[in-house]
Amino acid sequence: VTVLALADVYRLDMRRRPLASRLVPPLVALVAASVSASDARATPTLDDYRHFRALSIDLQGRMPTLEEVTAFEKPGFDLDRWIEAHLTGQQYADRLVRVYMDLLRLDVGPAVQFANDATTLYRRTVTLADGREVYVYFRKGQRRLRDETDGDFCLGGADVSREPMADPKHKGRPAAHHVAPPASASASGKPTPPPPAMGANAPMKIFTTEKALDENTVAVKPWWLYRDYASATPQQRYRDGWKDADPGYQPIDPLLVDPDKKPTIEIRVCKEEAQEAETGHVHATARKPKPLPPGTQPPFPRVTNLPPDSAYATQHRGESVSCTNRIAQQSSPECGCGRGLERCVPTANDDRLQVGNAFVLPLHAVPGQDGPIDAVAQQTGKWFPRWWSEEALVFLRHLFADDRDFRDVLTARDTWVNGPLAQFYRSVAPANCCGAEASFGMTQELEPLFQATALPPGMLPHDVGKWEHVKDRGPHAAGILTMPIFLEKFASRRARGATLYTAFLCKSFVAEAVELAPSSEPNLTVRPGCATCHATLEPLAAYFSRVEETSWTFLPQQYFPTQNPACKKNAQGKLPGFCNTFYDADFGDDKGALLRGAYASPAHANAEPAGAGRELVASPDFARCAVTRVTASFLGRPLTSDDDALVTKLTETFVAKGMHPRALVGALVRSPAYATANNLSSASVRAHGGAK
Amino acid sequence: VKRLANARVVVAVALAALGLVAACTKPAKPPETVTSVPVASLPGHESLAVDTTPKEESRLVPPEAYLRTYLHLFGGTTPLEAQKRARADGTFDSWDDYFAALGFPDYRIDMPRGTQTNALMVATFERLGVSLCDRAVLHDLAGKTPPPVKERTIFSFDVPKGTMDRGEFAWRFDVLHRRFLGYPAMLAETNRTERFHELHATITARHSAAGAAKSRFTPEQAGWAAVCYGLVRHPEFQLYLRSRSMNDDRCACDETLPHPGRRDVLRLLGAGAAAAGLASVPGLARAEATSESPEMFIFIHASGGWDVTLWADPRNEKRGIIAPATTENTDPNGVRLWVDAPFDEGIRTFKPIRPQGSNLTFGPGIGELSTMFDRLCIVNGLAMNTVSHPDGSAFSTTGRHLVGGRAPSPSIDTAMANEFGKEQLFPAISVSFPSFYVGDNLDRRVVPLVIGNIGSITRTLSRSQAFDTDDDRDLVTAMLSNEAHDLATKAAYPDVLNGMGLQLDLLRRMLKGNLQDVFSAEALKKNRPELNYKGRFHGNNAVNAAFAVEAMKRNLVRCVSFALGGFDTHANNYRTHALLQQEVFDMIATLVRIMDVSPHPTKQGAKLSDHTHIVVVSDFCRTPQINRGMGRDHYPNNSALVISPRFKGNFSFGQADSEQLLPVATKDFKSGKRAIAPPDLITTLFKAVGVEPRKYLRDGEVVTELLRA
Repeated sequence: VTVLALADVYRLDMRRRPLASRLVPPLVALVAASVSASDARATPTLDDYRHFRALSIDLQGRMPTLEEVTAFEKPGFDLDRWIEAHLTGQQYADRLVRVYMDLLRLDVGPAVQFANDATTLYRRTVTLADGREVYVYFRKGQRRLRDETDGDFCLGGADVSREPMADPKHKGRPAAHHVAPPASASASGKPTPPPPAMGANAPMKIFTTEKALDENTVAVKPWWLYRDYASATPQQRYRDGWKDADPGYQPIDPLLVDPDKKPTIEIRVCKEEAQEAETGHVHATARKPKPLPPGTQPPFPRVTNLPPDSAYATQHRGESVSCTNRIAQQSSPECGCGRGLERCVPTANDDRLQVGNAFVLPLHAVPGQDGPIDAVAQQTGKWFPRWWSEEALVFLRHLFADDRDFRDVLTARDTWVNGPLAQFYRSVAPANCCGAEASFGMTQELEPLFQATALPPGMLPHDVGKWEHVKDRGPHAAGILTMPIFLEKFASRRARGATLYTAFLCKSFVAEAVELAPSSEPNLTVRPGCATCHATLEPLAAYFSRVEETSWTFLPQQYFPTQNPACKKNAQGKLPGFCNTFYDADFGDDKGALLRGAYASPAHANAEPAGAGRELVASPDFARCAVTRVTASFLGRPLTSDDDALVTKLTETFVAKGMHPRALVGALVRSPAYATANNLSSASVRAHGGAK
Repeated sequence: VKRLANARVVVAVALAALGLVAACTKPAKPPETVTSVPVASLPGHESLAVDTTPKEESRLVPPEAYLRTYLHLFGGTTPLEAQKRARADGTFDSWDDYFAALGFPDYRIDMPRGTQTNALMVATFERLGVSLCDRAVLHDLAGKTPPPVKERTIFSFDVPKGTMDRGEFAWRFDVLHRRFLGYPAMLAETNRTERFHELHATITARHSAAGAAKSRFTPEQAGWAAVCYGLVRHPEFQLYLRSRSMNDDRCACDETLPHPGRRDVLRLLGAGAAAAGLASVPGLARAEATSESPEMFIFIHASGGWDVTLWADPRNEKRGIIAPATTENTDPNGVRLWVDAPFDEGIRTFKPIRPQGSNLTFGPGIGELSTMFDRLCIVNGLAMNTVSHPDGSAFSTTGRHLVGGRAPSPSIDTAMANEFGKEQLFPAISVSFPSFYVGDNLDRRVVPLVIGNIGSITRTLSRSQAFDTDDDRDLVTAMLSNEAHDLATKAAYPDVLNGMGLQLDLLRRMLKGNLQDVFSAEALKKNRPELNYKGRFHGNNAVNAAFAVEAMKRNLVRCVSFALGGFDTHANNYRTHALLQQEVFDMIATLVRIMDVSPHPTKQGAKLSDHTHIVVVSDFCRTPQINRGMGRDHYPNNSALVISPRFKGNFSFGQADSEQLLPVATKDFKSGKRAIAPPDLITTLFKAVGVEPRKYLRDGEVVTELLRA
């Protein structure tokens, strides 16, 4: 097959170059003849060596070794067979992955972090009567039954002080003294300072009693410390009973030691956060806290006022709620972080209550290296985004290494996950939903882009280097289009559509000389000037109407009909307030409004991202664009109309072989264009008096 | 054949002349976009010689490949293991320090991969190569009982004591040559074996001499280490190359005489038309741009797209679709110039700022820069015609939209470096700026030195003295420069190789300058305490401004360009957009103040600010509407700021309409009445400093209104 492809390309070149028989480099001729006379090869020329080096760089990801050069020099070396043997494996795949990573740049910068309150465990240092310091882990906004601590740190009110507190558990120590009102006198005769506020700007040092600690917190052996955190009595502590940890899994040192610098065996966690239940009940207090006048101290004391009941909590009081979603954290004191705290990720920015570091992670995704090229302590919010990026890398790597139909890049329902991603899809991603969605009856992600039930069993959060195949993410999955990294990198519907148009159809939205006149036309597909690009872009963007912007939450038709009669305009031309997040008043009337982004093509909105994938791969430009991308990358230059014949021929080969990339790359690296690529410019030709 | 070829030249010249005439006589029209079509489809081209040569020169091996090669060659370790080992003896820092300098793409911040070598990259190759070779010598040759030849990583031969004759050296060198460059040394196109033999002999002798610098290597080890440096840093190691024979065969032309191709005809036409247009600009004396000119440049890219209504084009009323910044969407805390103005019940907007004596009105984001209103030239209503970050960035800095995802013209920093900075040690330093080196008429020395942060310059230039000396390394660099230039003379297409030679020469100058003492981040902060290094958003980037001043004072750099990110505020992060602007404009104000008191390095009696041109641009502006996430999205309008002794101060030009914030056609250009656009601004800057704009730009007209008389 490859030889036929080569012959095709070769004949083409012959037609364009009448003197080709004289001009063809010896090596290319050799390649062409290799099938029939592989052992008839002459001593390699300098160009042969250099061509071999280029092949090695492109197919092995490195320059040839001395041993490989020696083998190449030997009579009988079959370059065609060598090429065929190297159109496989990780380095070959990574070469192609780089083509698309350079285009899509599927990694996110510091601005994108994933550390929401529902899944982040902060910690505070509390000091006991005997001077011991203890970290207490908690979630911001966790609902609790006590007014003193509801929505706040679990030690508050009389449990804490700014001075050492005597502990009734310990004889001979001062009697427990609880918080005195401001300006009162303590036993020492000095004025007792007001009790510490526990909120975001709380003072650094707080004291409590062991009794209060026992009543409000529990000891847990968390997932980041214990390999067997899910067992009843975890034993395998990181670097202790668990010595064969994946080298890529590295909690930062502050997570491994207690305040006294001794190894952490177990941690203290607020008891609500330590709960393992899968479901809880919606809690409503009927409390209606009034806004505090400026300068007024919140009660108990708190830095923030008491949390009011949400509208959802008020309406659904006592109803069952899944503990994995955002509503649970905001409305149920019965929901915590699950077994071993696996629904949450720690952060070690002690007492400052801002997201701090958690794990040592590579800074960059660099396909083609045996291991990361750097690794530094990074913030909790970078933990999952790192693996989102890796998911796309691994998916693309398998796509090319396994020589799958390239159309799968936009349509496949399978993917690959490692331990952190399994944890993410199972326990953490659901917490991104639901807030405003609840007004439409969606209290948890009902039709996620990645169904957690598809995850392979037994994957632990620490298995960063172990990747397993997920055969089917679910009916809404579509190649890279529904991966979190794509949806976060290209956060808006239009960015998603424009990226696909450019990367996979080789077209771009540029309106060089368009005059943009002021207009009140909301439909950009017809608005003068805007229509130049948006007539194409809006229908493409519409495919992403059912995936929330800056998120991966899927909006099912059942709850979010494309045209929603519940969101009809009132007499003033406005939609009901709860509709505005998801429905567009500009495309609404007295019968209802359209889902945001769907106006250019409601059919596309209902076809979802998978529909975009299908449309793109069905385009006649798709295969040619893939060929253009790969060819330009291997030749190291942008292609011009002079390359049209080469691209056409390669496209024919690519399509004929079912769009399997190996056939394309095989034909490309055997082509004269590749063998002679890299160093010519017409300006230089002229500067040197013209070519021969 | 010759007659036929001559006839073709005549046809081409005639076509060009016709084009020139046409360009002079036709009424002005917008620049025409030429769509790429196959040559054969153009009428008459069947009888014209067509150059079908691929239009790309020698290219850099991808950094992933040479990093992997380094690691494979030097013991098959992982990057982190290699880093750990090399750091132990001070020959290396961390891969991440060199990430940008090595040309790696940074997908996190959308920084594309480097495609050309530059002097800092060449310096980095040395830093890495020396470190790896030193480790290899330690492993293979040092110690009481070196490992058997078969177990050595690089030097798989015995090393006799003392000097060697050519024959003894040659076969050993051939082993290394084949290992590093992949072919026998005898096929090399230069007198390489002799050159390396001489290098080896010189270094060995130097280290044997009485009073030689202390080294952990024996003289023989030092000699072989130098050979290793020379090969791992060799231009052929970093580039894909073809030999001349293949180059000559490459052209599909069947003629031997030079002939202008289709592109040349088009270029001639374009240049002619352009020249005709520019010649008629009145009142502009053409200064000559030369390396001796005192002009310097700072280009700043506010990356992400800024909100112009918060500084250059303030809007504080709800008109049309414009929803101004208010306390509902913006946090005014810390925005010093935010003075409340009534807006709606319980909601306040800002009061526009008009300093006494100013013709300019600002929004509160302008910060300290408002006090310098008499220096500011503001361009509003810049027509961007794009809301894509890559395209907007390229359009603002090159004056051209992307074509097929690539910039078709050089960026302004590259062009200015090409005009003024060829002889400079650092022609153009680019810290995450959208710099593009594109075009045939650029000198290889001005490839922007793209780095992730200023600190990496010093790390790249620091050298351990444990094994070799500065003189040893300099000797290797000098030899490599000769190799590059010699290879260029043998090649039909010498630009890249000549460029590497020049960059190696630059490296020698850099390393002799003790720059690491001046340009470490710590030293810069100490020398320029006026700048705010603790800023919430760009404290770290203030060191870029410090570098610009210190490097310009020493006449080491011509263009410093850097990006300041964080402006892409689609969501709730818009609340701090004004604060971010204030921090950036405060930084620029401080920079100008420092330049006002810093002497110019070559112009006696002048201050840096007398000859420094600061241009601040962004991708585009943000929507006048506030979106559902309480942020603003992308919008095809823009503003720009110029602080230049050649541009008017206390002046603004262009405008956006009152209800939709779209650019308004305000000037009668040759192409008709339209809004000002980035090519016009860049053209005007070129003209202001005496550079022929059409050398770099296809579009744009000089806006004389912006310039001082």
